[in-house]
Amino acid sequence: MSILIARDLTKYYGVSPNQVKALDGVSIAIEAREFVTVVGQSGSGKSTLLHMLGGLDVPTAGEVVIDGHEISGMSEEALTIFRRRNVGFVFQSFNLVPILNVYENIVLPIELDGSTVDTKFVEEILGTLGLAEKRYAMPNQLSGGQQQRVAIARALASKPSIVLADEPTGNLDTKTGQDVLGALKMTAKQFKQTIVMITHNEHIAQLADRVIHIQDGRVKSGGTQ
Amino acid sequence: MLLYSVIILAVAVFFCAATVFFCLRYLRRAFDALDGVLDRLLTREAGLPAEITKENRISKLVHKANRVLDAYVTEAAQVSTEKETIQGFISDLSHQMKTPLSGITMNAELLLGNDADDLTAEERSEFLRGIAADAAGLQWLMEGLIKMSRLEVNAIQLVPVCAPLKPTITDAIGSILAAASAKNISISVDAFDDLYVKHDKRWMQEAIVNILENAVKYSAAHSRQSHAGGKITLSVTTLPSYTKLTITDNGAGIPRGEWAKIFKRFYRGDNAADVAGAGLGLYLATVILEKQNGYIMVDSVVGEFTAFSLFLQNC
Amino acid sequence: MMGNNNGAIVRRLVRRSLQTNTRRNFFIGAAIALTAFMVASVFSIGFSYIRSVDMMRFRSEGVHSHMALQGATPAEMEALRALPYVRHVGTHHIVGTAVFPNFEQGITISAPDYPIWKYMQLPTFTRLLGHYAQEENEIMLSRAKLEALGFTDPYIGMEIPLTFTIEGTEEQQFKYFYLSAIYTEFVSTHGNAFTPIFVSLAFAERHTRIQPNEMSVNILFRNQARALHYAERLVQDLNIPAEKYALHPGLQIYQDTNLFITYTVISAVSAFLMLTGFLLIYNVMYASVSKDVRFYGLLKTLGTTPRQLRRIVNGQVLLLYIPSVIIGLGVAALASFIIVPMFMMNVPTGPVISFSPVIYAGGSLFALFTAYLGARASAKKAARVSPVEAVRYAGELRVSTKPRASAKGSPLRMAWRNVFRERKRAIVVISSLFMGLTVFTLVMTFAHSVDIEGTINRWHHYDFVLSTAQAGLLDDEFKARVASMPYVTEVHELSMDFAYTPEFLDGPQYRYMGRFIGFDTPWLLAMNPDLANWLDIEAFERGEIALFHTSPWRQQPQSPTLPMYQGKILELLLGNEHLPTTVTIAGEVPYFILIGGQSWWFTGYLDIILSNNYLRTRFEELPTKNLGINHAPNREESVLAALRDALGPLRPFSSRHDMRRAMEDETLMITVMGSGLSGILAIIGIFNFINAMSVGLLVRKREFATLESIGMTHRQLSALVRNEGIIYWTLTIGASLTLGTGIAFGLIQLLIRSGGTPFTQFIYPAVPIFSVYAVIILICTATPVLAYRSMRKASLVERLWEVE
Repeated sequence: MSILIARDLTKYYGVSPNQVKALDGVSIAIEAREFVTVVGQSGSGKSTLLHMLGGLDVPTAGEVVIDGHEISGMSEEALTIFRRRNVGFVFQSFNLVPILNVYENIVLPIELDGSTVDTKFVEEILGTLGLAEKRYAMPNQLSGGQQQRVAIARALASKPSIVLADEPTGNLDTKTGQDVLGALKMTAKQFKQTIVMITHNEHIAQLADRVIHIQDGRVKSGGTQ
Repeated sequence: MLLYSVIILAVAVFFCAATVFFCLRYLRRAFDALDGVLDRLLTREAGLPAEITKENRISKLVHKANRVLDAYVTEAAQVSTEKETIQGFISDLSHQMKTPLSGITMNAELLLGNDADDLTAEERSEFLRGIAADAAGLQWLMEGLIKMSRLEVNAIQLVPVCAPLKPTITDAIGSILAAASAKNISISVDAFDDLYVKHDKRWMQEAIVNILENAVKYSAAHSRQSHAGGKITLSVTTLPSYTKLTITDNGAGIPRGEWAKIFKRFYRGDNAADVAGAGLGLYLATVILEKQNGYIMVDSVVGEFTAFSLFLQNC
Repeated sequence: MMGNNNGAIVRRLVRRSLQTNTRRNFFIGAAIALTAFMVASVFSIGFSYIRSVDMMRFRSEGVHSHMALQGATPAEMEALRALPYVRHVGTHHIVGTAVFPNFEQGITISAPDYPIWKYMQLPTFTRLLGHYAQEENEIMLSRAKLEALGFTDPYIGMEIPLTFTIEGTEEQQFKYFYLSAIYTEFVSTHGNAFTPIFVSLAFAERHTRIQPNEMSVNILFRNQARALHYAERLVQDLNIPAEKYALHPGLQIYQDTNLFITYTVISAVSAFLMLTGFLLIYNVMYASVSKDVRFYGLLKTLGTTPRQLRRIVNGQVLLLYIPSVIIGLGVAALASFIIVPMFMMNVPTGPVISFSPVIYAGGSLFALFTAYLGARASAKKAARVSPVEAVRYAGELRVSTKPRASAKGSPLRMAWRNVFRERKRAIVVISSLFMGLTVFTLVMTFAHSVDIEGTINRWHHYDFVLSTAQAGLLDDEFKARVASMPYVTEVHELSMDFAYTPEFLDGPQYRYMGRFIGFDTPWLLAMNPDLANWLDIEAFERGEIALFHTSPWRQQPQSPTLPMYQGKILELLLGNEHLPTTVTIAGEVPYFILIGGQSWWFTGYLDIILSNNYLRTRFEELPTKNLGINHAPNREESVLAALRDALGPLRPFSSRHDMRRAMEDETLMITVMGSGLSGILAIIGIFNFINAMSVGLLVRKREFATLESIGMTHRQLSALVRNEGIIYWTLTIGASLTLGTGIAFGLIQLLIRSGGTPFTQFIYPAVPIFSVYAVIILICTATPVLAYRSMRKASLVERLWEVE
């Protein structure tokens, strides 16, 4: 069963004649453990798509089904709780809560739900991502690449159904970007995580199992398996 | 006065009773909720969205029960996928074996056939060479598949340790040097300080060798660029958490559309039909690298160069 | 009950966010402390002031008693004591009169019983040394009396010589007494009268005849608030005829107006303070949430529900509340210990510092409630943050897709739209500035509109008034001396003595009928101008007609044996010489209190008013009691000096000078207090403004960048921001000019119309108000520009860093 399905997603902003069609009938399906990249230039609608998939925004029409649960009709509180328990995020910048240290940032979604932290699992993630010694550091003491790795760790720690990454290397230089990307891919494999990554960079898209091209709010290729 | 006492007593008793009643009811409700969750788990019924998105203990419980269910289902799916993989292996194997086997059969028939006596010594040698070649191909195939299957099912463990990278690279180059110079391809290594990297020397060497072999196989054949022959360069860059080993050749290049595909099993490329090989080298390298918590990327411009970057974990 | 057990993370986020952002903590804490301080200090000072004034009034009466009875029988005394609503019953005996310097009639010697001494006298005294006089030769005196007698360093057991006459005898006696108690009294501060000299009951029994049926009784009821009611019950229960009793005049007044006014004022002030505190806290919290939009947005993205976000904001305020409120209340307590005595310097009884824990508990609850309201509003805002917007942009907070600021329109229109983009915040800032300005306007208007001269003239008809009680004998020689003092322009007399009607001379109960009061006609007309309309002045001056007035607390103004009405013909015997005269009553004049008159120990009088011109023809020497002196303008000091020479250390009983000084002091005090209060409010308003401006600019950084990119120069942007400041002060000052002035005007008119207040017309305090307006204009115009400039500098540095 597909872990993430989008059917005819549409998102309009404003009213005609000034209407902006960010998404125009996008349908995709993603299987468990896939590493999928959505590639498109700026303005293609890829970020909007990610927001829809992650339940950060509500589509004008169409539906999003994660793990068999249809989220497009949920209330704000329900969506928030759903995100907390089922979706992990890695953003381009400012991912980390500045007043919490690395470890606390990583286990934040788990604590928001009042669940017990699987310390062994978190230790494993920390080790894999090379963050073990930095666990008590504050975000402002970390480099950009390290911050992104913490974000990845956080996205994995709660074992969500799906991890959404929005231009994770966008704010990093090439070297660090490669580093972070590697971390993303490798941990995904190791922890058997499904990942959807948004990027405009074709080069890094090769790491994915599947590439979806999006343009002008429509899927150009790679939509469904 | 007595009346007051009785009234107070009655009120107190009433409150106590009410408290007990509500406590018991709460407990009962809690157990019923747990009961419902476990039932659902048994019947493999996923929770309704409304139930898993509430801010209370029951909802959290239902959500986790769902997760347990998912993991269960996924494991089951995984097992069947693995079965499929193995079946896939077997069918691939038989498919791949067909050609060389039929070659051998054909050559053997020719050598043993009715017209065998009419064959010249040259023709006979040729047929025998053909058999040898095909046999070598089968050998190659067999070794590759066995290695791969063992790796896939974790029969062989990779043990990445902090070890110096230089010897690994040097040894890998050493094993390919002969084949390279035979085709007039030079191999050079950009100077770098020896460093320790987490890797399994034996397998890593194998991966590097696979890539070098590809570079040797596919580059010189179509190199129009350099009259002086092909050139393979190795360089090492240190990144924050990875060490990158780049192997660049100036061969035919790989078109962008193929980049994702080349790492798949049995991929041979459109322009590799006439070269011996099984299409497993890159796939094997990918698996080896992944098992060392690293990965491979490719960059290429058609007609100019192909660069493979191998990423290994820093110590 | 089945709620999720995820409180720990919320608590941690609250703690951490407080640990890391000290600047924000300071502002919120300061806001809460300020609110608590305001409430506690205003009420504390207010109540202290009221209680101090009350205490002064209370003490200067000399005795604390609700009701007085004359001639009670022992049976009645028993009955009195048995009544459940009577708390204390005490008696005193008039023993005689003591010779006292400067007191022509001497000072009464009285023997109080213990209940009167302890429960009715002592509460009006302070600094008591010694004990109740029990031995025959023991005496109790106040420090003022001792000083007048020449004893500056009194001590218990001191020998006090006294010359006195026992009541009912003519013979003067002399005796040495021993001082058993020393105390400070306040009757003497008010007007040169004294409480009686107190001796022991033993002495009274020994030297006088105590008539058991002629006891003077004073009564204290259980509950002051219901004293009037109890008094009526008592009269009914014990059947006491009207002439035998008198009530404390103050009782009536308390019942009526005070309570209502007090509660209205308290409610108004509370609402006002609550509003100010709320505005302040709300503004600071709102600004802090605006700054933290990204923080809340990220939290929401990661799965923090709106409810949890609200709990974070509320939690921050709650944790900050505890130390802040303690500080605020602490400072308020300190302030009341310092400020109240400062204000009470004029009150001779000393300040009463009202340290009621109710006020402080109320202040803390008040601050909590206000903090909660302020936090709630901002918490809602934090909860409604849109995660997409917040995580994406380092820009403005938008809850929904509202139209962004466009570059269309004139700069003024743009500025207008910007100001009201966050309507709530704009209203908060303008309201708090407006409040400060309005309070200031009110205070200044009050201070400027006080008609000091007019009020003085209403109460005082002469620059100085002397009274026999302290000036000694106002004989002809003295009068001539005063009249000849330099700068004295006129001297008028008021005479008084007892008047008897022939029937009552020998009666058992009444030893006298009442008094007559002789006026110099100008004095009488000054007090009652409309007499000129109907009184036949010539007949009055010839002694053919007279007027009368009665005391207000006599329940029956007419005694059953002597009705008074217009046209009645009275035959009177005046003074000690019993000079006969016959007058026709022409009418009644409103009651007035005789300056330096007797205290209300005795039952009320029926006074006959005659003309001094006539009396001078009958008396050899006019029994002058009061001398009214007018002098040339601005000559108070020299006349006062001359009078002092003539009088010794005693001051004239009443003077315009004193009242003028007192009123000026009071006006000054109100001005200072009011300016202080409005200063605080103004500071709060400006604080709100600066806060709103700087945060508003911060969250619009991106917008400014956009505007810059479409071609607005820095100068234009600076002008835009300045225009916003201009709009703020225009609205604020406009509202204050119209509404504020209107309120002040309305209030003054109301007070003028209700009469009895020192206001006669509305004078607009232009200078102070306009200078404050100027300050506001300056601040409102300069702040946005400065904030914009500093923001630009900061973002420039940020931009440089980004390149790195």
